[in-house]
Amino acid sequence: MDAVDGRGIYYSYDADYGDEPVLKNIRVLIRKGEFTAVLGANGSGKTTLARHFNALNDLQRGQLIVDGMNVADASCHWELRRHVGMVFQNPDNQFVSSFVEEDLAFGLKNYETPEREIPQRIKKALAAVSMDGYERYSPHELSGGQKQRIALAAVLVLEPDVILFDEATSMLDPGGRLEVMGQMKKLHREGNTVVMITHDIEEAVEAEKVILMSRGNILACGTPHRVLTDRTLLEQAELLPPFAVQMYYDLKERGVCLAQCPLKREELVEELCQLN
Amino acid sequence: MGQYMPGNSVFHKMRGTTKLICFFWILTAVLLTDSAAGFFLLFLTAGASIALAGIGLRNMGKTIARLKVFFSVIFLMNLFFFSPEQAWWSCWIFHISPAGFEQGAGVVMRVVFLLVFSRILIATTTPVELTGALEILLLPLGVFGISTGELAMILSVAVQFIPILSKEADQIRKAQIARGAKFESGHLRDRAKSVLPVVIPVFLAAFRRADELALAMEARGYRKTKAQRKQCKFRVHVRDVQAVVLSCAVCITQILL
Repeated sequence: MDAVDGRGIYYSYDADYGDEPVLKNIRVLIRKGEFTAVLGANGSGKTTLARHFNALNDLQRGQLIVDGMNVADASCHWELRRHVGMVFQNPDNQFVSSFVEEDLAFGLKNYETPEREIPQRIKKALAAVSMDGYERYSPHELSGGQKQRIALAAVLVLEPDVILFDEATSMLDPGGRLEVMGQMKKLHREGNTVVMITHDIEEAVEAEKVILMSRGNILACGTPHRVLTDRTLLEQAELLPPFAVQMYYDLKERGVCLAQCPLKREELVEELCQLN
Repeated sequence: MGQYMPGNSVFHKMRGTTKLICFFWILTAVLLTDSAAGFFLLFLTAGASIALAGIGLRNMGKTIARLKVFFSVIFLMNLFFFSPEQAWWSCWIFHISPAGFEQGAGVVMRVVFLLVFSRILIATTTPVELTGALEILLLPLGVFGISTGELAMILSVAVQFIPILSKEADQIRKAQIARGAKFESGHLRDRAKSVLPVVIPVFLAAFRRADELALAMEARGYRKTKAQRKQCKFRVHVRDVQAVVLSCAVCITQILL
């Protein structure tokens, strides 16, 4: 079964006033267990699209099935949100309590989890993000990366099938980014469906599949190698290629041809070493 | 100033609901106090409460000291404007009289006691515990169609956002200073004007944050119709009964004094 299957998705924030739609006839397919990056410049519609996956935005036109549930059916929205967790951009705006354990319990109590199960579930979720023992800490005392890991634990505690990261690294320092990226990869390895919304092309490189968006349309969808090495496509999406791809083309212009276009820094190093 | 302090004191162990009920009795006692004996009783109650809560006198002293300007203003207002009768000193509309002195000192002491007891409540009760307690105590309002769960959640989240918004206001203020804004000098009118460029961005940021928090809460299954009922199973402990009886006794004694 597919984790996300949508077609003809259309969305406009103010259709009555003739505003340009943010999503125009989108076709999206994400398989279970996939690590997908939805990549695009600011205003491309990636966050609006992701918010359809857990019904935070109402489906105006089209059809969308997420984890077997029809998003158009308002009666299943609450249940859908238990299956599709979302980590937002700013960790500070996600906490409802001054204690980590109480914050994690918030979602569990919303879903009427039996009281005796709650401490175990909290412990498990904190262990999953390597934050064991932080139950009695205030989320606001932690570093950016730790805060975002707690926000992720608050999502994981509900044991969702799909986890959405809405630019979850954009407000973090490099260390924090690495921590959160590490968590995403770990979740993917454990078989979860991970959807990462990002405008950072170097992060999209880490995904298994890339959906490239521009001005409410999907420009391309495929492996990072296929999408992120295509300079014309990236130009259309108003994005710069990843560092390794840029290097490949720069070297090519100077007459140095590598065997294949690298995507990651390590691949570039490998290709350069083979030149000798 | 208004933050929870983790601890293992008797007050920390008490239920939020009990503490709120006790706070209500003590609040009534503070408002009813108008004799030296009454203030002495409040002094003893506050001292014992600070010791039992394990907050520390220095910490409490700092909390009170932060509001020294406010206390001075209310004392001086009462001292100069309360009563011209039997005045020690008079000049135009200003009179210093024994009654004014007594009134000023009384008001300041009442506010200090209110601050001390509020501080004890907030320092020993987590916001979530406080929300749960409020939710239970406000339950009768449900008869009038008021959603007490939502009301309690609003209060809890509002408390949660105070330190974040104050940090944000400080950052905006510093950014304005870096661009040449002056907050410390000039006339009162100029100073009031200079506050606007800080207040507006803080409000905008607060709305943006509130919007994102609402989405995050919705994404974690929060529903208006399904208010959380976390502490509804009422298990009353001996210390809770003792605390309510003691605070009620303080209030009754205050009425009798």
